[in-house]
Amino acid sequence: MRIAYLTGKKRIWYMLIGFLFGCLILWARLFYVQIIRGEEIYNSALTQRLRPIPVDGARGDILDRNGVLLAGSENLASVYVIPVEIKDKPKVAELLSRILNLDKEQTLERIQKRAAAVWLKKRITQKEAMEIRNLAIQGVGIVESPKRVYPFGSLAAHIIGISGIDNQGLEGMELVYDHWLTGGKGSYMVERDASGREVPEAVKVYEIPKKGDALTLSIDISFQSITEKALAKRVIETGAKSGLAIFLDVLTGEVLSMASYPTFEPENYQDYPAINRRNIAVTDLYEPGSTFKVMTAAAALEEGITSLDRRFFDPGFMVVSGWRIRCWRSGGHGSQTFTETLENSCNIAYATLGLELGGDKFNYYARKYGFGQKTGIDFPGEATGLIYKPGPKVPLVTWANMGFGQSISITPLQLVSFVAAIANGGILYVPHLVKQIGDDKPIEPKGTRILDEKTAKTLREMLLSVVENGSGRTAQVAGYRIGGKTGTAQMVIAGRYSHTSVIASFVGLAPAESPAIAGIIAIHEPTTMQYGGQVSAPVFAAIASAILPALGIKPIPETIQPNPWGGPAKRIPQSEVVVPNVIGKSVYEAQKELKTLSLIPETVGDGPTITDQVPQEKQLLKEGSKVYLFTDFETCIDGLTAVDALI
Amino acid sequence: MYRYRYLDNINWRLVITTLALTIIGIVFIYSSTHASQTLRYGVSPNAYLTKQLKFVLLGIVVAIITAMLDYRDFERFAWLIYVLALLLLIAVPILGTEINGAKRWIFIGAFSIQPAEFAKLAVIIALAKFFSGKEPPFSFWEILQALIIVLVPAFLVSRQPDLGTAMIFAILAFGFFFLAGLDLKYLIGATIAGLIVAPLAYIFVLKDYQKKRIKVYLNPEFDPYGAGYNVRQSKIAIGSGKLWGKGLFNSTQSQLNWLPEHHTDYIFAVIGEEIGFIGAAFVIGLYFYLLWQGVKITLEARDRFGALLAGGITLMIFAHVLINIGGAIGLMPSTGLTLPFISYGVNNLLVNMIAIGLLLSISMRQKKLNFYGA
Repeated sequence: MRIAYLTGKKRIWYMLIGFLFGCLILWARLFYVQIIRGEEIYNSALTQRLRPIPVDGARGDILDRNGVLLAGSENLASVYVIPVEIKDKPKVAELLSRILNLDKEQTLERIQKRAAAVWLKKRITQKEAMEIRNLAIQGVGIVESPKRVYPFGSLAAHIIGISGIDNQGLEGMELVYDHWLTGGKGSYMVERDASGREVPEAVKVYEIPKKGDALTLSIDISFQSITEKALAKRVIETGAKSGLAIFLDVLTGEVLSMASYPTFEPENYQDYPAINRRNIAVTDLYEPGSTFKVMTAAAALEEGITSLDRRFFDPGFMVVSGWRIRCWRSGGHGSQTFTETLENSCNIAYATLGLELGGDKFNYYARKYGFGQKTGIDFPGEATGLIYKPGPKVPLVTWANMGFGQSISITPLQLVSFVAAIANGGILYVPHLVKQIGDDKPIEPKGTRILDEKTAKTLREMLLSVVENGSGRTAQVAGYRIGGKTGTAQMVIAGRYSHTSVIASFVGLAPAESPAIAGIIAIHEPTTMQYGGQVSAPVFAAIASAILPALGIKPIPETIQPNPWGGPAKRIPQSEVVVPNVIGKSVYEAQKELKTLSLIPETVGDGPTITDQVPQEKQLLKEGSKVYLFTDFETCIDGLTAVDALI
Repeated sequence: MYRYRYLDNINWRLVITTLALTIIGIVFIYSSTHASQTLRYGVSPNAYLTKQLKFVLLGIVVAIITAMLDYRDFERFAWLIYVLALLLLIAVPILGTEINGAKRWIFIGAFSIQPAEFAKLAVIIALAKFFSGKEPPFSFWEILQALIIVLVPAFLVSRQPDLGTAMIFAILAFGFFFLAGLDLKYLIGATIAGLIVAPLAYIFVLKDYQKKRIKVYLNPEFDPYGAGYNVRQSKIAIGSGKLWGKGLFNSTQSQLNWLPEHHTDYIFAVIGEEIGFIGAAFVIGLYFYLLWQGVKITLEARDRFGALLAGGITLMIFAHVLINIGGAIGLMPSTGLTLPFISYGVNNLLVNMIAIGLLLSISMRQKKLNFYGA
């Protein structure tokens, strides 16, 4: 049988050639995909697996003027488990429940859940996180997220403000400087499988997000602490509703301390009534009362309608277009010098000046001095205040009332800024809370001259006299000359001036001969006493006595240096000693040195050397006074009750 | 039937190449399933490995039995086999189970039979039988008959739907006409006609998902997370293997489930990712070596049926390799065809093992060793 069983072997060979051709195409394509485009594809594969999780950078720190941390960011760790990855579930449950202090049965239950991932515990401590990390159990992971922490709790709460759960600033500095504080965007890239699970022992790329800029505040945390404690103490003592205090550096407009009471803790702000979060020092308006006479005096001096030589007569009342204005002192103050009108806080004298200035001038000066407009402080929600403009509907008596601080609304910050301008020789600075943004963006002071230097000096003399001889005597501080003005403003309740509800205030500067600080204390509705001189002036004295020496201003022994303006020399309390500097010395040495000076050392903390002391060096103290010695920083803050000894 | 001395004539090269490919298959099935399957379903990491090992053992036994049978018995029962295969294909829409939108499987107990796989072999046997008695030039009637032999199962398969297998049938028909000696002008004419008909078929015959696959092939970025996802992931897996690969068991794309069906249709992507260009090219080389042995057996077959059968089988293996690998590396539309000897699964493995058994049977009885004379 001759069968040409195939037409030709040729075609079989062609088939082989066809196979070869096919394989060659596959090889060529493979070469193209793996060799020529391999690198590119490799990277795209990695990008696909490394699914980036956006990570917010930590918020920038908020520091005080000396770099002490007021608000920081801490990473809070949370533990999760991937049930399918855990092999020995009971053992892992036992380990984790022990470390995390959880119920063993519940833990096991969670580990056995049929879910991709289960949260085991959120917000664990760093120690717990470390222990769990060290165990390196497969299927147990830890994620971290930044959280705002406030090492000082409620201290400076109003200034710092609050930030929300998503790290956004909501109030205070957190809000105003949110743009800088907010961290950059980073990403955490973990190799993931197609369903998005993290791969064990996977490639991890952590693109560290930039931390937000740090904010250096102008406040000094120890001043702030002193201010808050003194204020709180006084509000409670006097049975008042609330209170505020502001201290400014008069040469720059920097806020050294600013307190409102009641207060809150930024970390747990939800636990406090919303009213506590109001920074009334900036956001609330009030009728200043007598403290505003300083403004009238300044305007009158600048306008030339009065001088120190002018005498005023106060019969106890005056009548302005049918309105009867009375002085607070029945029967009046009689004949007084201009300085005495301020010492006496004579309403009639300042009503007269108000009228003499007239609406236009009064309005002009009030605005020039910063009233009726925002000071421009870097704080949200600042109030503007109200100053009447002359007009047909504004009766003449308005200018008389405004002359002694009624019929006008201002913020405490406006007034203290104005007094700071008197203190520094006439330049009104924009008050500010931030000294520097980041490492290299200092905030320059912005000032405008509003007073002649001579006028400022005259006003300082008058203010000094008020404290030395007048209503502000309670503001006196041993070793320093204080200038200031008291105020007891009646609150308007139901359209009438109340005789029981008052705002007792004191605004002052120190030291009077060369002022460094200006401050205001206002206490709302004190019940046990009423007058600014009684309620608020002592608070000013307490705070100033702590701040001034800390600023390096030496106390003047009055016996050696007479009053530069020739006033009566101040009596020196007997047996006062100057506090030495013991910082850096050993505890034993410091205690010995203080004892030899008849001071009582009170050591706080158990460190070997002294890191801080209250009061600071060079302050005058009575013999037998306590001096608090701090050996480490944390306890220093707790120990600041030391201020109580000074009040 | 079986003669002892045939053993001396076993094509060991074919045996070894087949075993090598099977072992590669086992290794990569393990690699692509041991991690991800555990993660996903909590089943034993070795589940797929053990199953495939059983399939391979079964396959080897089946191959040996087939090799021991005289391939000419298949000639005798060719039509019976063909009709049985058709009946199974007809049974699929009635008894079949739908998986992923396609009815391709009949479950009998724990076993799932994929009639389309066996139909390929049945068609090859039938065509070899048909053309063994015919010599060119072929009459129109003969050509029509041959076409009907292919078109009936092709039609049934394409209804399942299974575009890949239908494509295999087309290639087989073309190949058989070529090998059997059809005048080249008809083949060229048919090719041109095919090119004209293809767009029409695309519009009227193909289902939407099939159209999508072709669109994806023509434009890989079309629908990257839908229809294009598989092809794109496969290409990413292979490409990221670069020259040397990421190392055995170290593939990331497939083990992390980026790559779907990585133990069946896309196993070549795992190979490409783990052992790189070097390894993947070697695997293609192995296939070429196997095809070469197939061609040699075709050349040396003792009769026309044997030659046509060997040629058809070789062509079928080639078509699978080309379409599967070509699909994995973005050379042609992805069709869901398995990679012979390597892909996981019992049906394709058994069919390929029977095919190898037939090739061995043909080679053992080749002309030059036939002492009985012709």
